[in-house]
Amino acid sequence: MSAGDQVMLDLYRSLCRSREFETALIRYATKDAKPVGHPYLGQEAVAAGVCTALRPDDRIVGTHRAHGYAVAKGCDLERLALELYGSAEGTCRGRAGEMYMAQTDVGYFGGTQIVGGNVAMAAGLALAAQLGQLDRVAVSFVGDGAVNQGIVDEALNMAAIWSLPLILVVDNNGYAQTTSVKYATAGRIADRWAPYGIASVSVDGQVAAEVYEVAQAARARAAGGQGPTVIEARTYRYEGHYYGDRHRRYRPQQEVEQWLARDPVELHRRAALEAGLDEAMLDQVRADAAAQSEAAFERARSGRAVAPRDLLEGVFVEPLLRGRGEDS
Amino acid sequence: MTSMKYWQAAADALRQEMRRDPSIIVLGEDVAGGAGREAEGIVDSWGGPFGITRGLIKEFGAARVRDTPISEAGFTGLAAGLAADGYRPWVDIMFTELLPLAWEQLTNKIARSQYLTAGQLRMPVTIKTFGDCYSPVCHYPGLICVAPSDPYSAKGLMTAALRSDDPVVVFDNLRLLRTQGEVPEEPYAFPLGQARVLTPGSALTLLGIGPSTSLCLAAAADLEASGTSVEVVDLLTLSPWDVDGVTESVRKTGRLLVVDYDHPECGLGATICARITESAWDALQAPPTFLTPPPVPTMGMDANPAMAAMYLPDAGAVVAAAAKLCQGDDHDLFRWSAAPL
Repeated sequence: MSAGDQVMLDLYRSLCRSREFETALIRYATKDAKPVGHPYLGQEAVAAGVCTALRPDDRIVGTHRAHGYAVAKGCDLERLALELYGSAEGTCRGRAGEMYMAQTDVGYFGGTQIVGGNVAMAAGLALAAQLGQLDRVAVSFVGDGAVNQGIVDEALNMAAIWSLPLILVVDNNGYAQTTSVKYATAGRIADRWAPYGIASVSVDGQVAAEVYEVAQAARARAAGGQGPTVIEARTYRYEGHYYGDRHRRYRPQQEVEQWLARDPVELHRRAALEAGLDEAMLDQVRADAAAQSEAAFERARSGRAVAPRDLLEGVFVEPLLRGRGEDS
Repeated sequence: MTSMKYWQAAADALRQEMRRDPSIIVLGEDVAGGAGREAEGIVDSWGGPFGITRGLIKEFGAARVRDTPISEAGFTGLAAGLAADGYRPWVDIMFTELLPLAWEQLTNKIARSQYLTAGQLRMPVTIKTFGDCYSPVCHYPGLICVAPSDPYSAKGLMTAALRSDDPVVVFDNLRLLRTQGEVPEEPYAFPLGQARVLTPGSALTLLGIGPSTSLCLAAAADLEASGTSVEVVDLLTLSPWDVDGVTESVRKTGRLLVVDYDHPECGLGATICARITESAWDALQAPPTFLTPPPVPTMGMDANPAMAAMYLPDAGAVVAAAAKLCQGDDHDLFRWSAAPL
């Protein structure tokens, strides 16, 4: 298989894992009265495109809309499902749920409740790579709403003055909760940090291969010491801000249908077929992703529940015992 | 032992630990001063607001001693990222009035990450600040808060903070900055979570927090002269504080007066009194109580020395409150040093 075909296949695998995992999550969680949280359905090409362009030890941080980023960076689906089900066998012993869950051994350094709250930490991860002179970058995913939080500016300013290997990916799905980006955000997002000297690009966030290309270029710039890049990926979320947000009266039906017609999984499947990838192989990739997701949630149903000791352990790395003794 | 000022002792700890541990990175506004102008011969032009970081850039270089933009939230988050990837950042947030700018990163990232990720994200961050407003920070589980009271504890607690695998907020105080004391030259760390008894006594425990400890010692001298035996305890770690140590003292003396320079409501003094009321109940001779400034929204009244004198408890107020406690006259025990509002 050519390198190009391999990328197309990897992108499809990532898209399918994300789509099937969240589809299974909604089906199981609805049945089992568990929280669904903030689905990434419709936006999958952004995280899939970016994470496929990264190396395993590159670091990413996400947001509240966290499953999509976690799955794209390669988090273990079974332990993720256990975490979402609140099991002590979850990735974070059932403590973190969707928004704070992390799996650092695959480079997923976690999400956050605060929409722009992880960008500064990502700059710190980038500074760590720079100080260690490592070929490693940090990516911070945010939504369009986050660009109006001050800390994003603070972090990007530091990334620019120190040429940090940081990539900010703005999943512009058009809405900050119910508020349109057109109402809340002055100027174009992709232009906002260009005056800082930060390379900035806007890309069709429904086309995984295009996102992959700009992410690959951004990674090369960052790792090559040329500093940060902002990628605005124009996309759309199929569900509400959170899964219970069912009415979605803030979005015209015509707009929803226009975006549904450009589904990122279907668009990529067509592109892969046109590139000559075998249809049966693609079908197998999707079937595997569905089976893995199904198995993950079946397993989550029988996960060990949290016990009182799970609540109380590990507040500190070193518990403060009186009389621990002077250490010199 | 060498005689040095409080700020020199804190600086000594930082320099010695930076020599020992290359993962310590100093971050903050003007921690070196005049950054980015080495080509013009400008290096180390300030050294932080009170000179604590002076000279570090010359010894350790600009990569480890990093002047930041005025972005408290941003560089506190930056520290979280460095810590998550194996570094030990030391972060200068000049004054407690600036801490709210970094609040979100301090609480949601630095305090919570280690626990929420079941140990995957470690946060060995030291945050160093000046000021009395420590109670809101003590509210957050996951953070260790300390307040030195003299040069010896300044070095011992700063070293402990830098060596801790958990996040530590160090509350220094401008009132202590130029106090002089004997300090060992070699590195040493105070145990975190442990108070110390400064003077043993039998009739009253005076509990000091950071700069109020010297007030307690002064008041204790007065009280001893008039025949009251006072045990002065220096809290040192404000959260998680030494419940066992303070309980042991109060079970011996039967009385507790906490002298707390922070605002009174939901404060550390109130928390300590509530806990000790339970833990020392059967040994108590009087209700545990605390002396604080009145609840007015100052920033320490440093702008007006006359108002600051009315605002902060002084040794006379401590002696008066202690005398009331010891005489069993606790019904109208008057917590605040100023006239009733």
